[in-house]
Amino acid sequence: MSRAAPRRRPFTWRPELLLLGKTTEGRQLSQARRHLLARRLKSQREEPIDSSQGLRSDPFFFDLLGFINNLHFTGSDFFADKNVFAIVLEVPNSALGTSPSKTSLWGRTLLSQSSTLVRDDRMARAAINTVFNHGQDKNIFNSIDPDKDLTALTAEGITFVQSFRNTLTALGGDPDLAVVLLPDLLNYDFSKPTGYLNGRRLQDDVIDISLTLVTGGGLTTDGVGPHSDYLSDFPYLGQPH
Amino acid sequence: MKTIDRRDFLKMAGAGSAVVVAGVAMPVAGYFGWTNKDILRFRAVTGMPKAPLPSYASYVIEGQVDLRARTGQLAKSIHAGAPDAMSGVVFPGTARSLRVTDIKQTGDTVLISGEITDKMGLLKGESPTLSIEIDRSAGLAQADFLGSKVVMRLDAHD
Repeated sequence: MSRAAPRRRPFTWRPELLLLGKTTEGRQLSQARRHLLARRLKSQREEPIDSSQGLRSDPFFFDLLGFINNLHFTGSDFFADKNVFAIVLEVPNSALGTSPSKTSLWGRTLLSQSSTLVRDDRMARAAINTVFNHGQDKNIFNSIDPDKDLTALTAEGITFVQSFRNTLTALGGDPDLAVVLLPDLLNYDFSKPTGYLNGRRLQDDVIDISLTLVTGGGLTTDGVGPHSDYLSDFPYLGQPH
Repeated sequence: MKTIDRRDFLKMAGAGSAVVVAGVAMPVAGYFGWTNKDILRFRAVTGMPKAPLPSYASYVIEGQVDLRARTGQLAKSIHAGAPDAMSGVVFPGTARSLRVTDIKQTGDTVLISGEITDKMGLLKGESPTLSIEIDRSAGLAQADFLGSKVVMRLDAHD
């Protein structure tokens, strides 16, 4: 006895939902369907879109233990031998819109909980949440979108802007930087040369740049430089250790 | 190849780092107590870095020592999360076991000295030995962290 092939329910999708594996209606896509859609998307573009997921060498470089030792850096790169589970997405600048100077990027991580995707954290520039937000404020900050950064309140009841101003003052930095660091977005003007804070390349020393900014030049480096295992081609992150 | 779980740490730190999962969640504070009149058990904890930076890691020294025999075991590690939100997630390469080499007791103060049992893979600036001074009346301890003196908190323990 033959069995009728299961009828596929119609769905719609958007390219940005592909990584989440969701349709526009919020339904979960199968792995096979995701691959199929990714191939279709790639074939429709004049310029290629590539994605890669898996274990890679961690590209980040930072004297983490020096940082937690109250900024007593020893030039020891905590991440030199570490790996990271990476999601690499390569898209042409044309996919970012037609107005280069207005491109701002931020990412969020969603966890699947009871068949629902729940925000776990978000990130744009390096170390914003880490350096400026205390205790429960980290979770509050992670839960809001960047368009709320200028008005949202911390657990203490002050704005994040005021909280950032307080920390900048204590660190010797310019408190007015608070409204530069917030909203936490990584601006990327692709008509100009790339380099942190205009986008972020793997080899950009975001820690040295951030230290210099937030301490008003009081500290300029953690003594650690870029890794040597970056690849010149996609997926750019080095082979895992 | 190391096993790394970046997600747990990101949740607490809000920024990139790498960690290994070391087990179950830990109590949020330190403790000390006696299992008999000569055996002292303790856990000392401090948040790192210090204000004005937010703490997003916890330095933990714990152990059990025999004050009469002047022997015992210590362990130290750095956990993701500030003391009030400390997890069982340990920064890779920071967990150490130590053998007690000496104990001095003066009033409410106990000075415990130890040495790391496996000296392979010491961190830059990390001493192969450790001294922790426990002040039971103040509920505080003082120890070294990569060359810096840190004050750690002890809490009462049944």
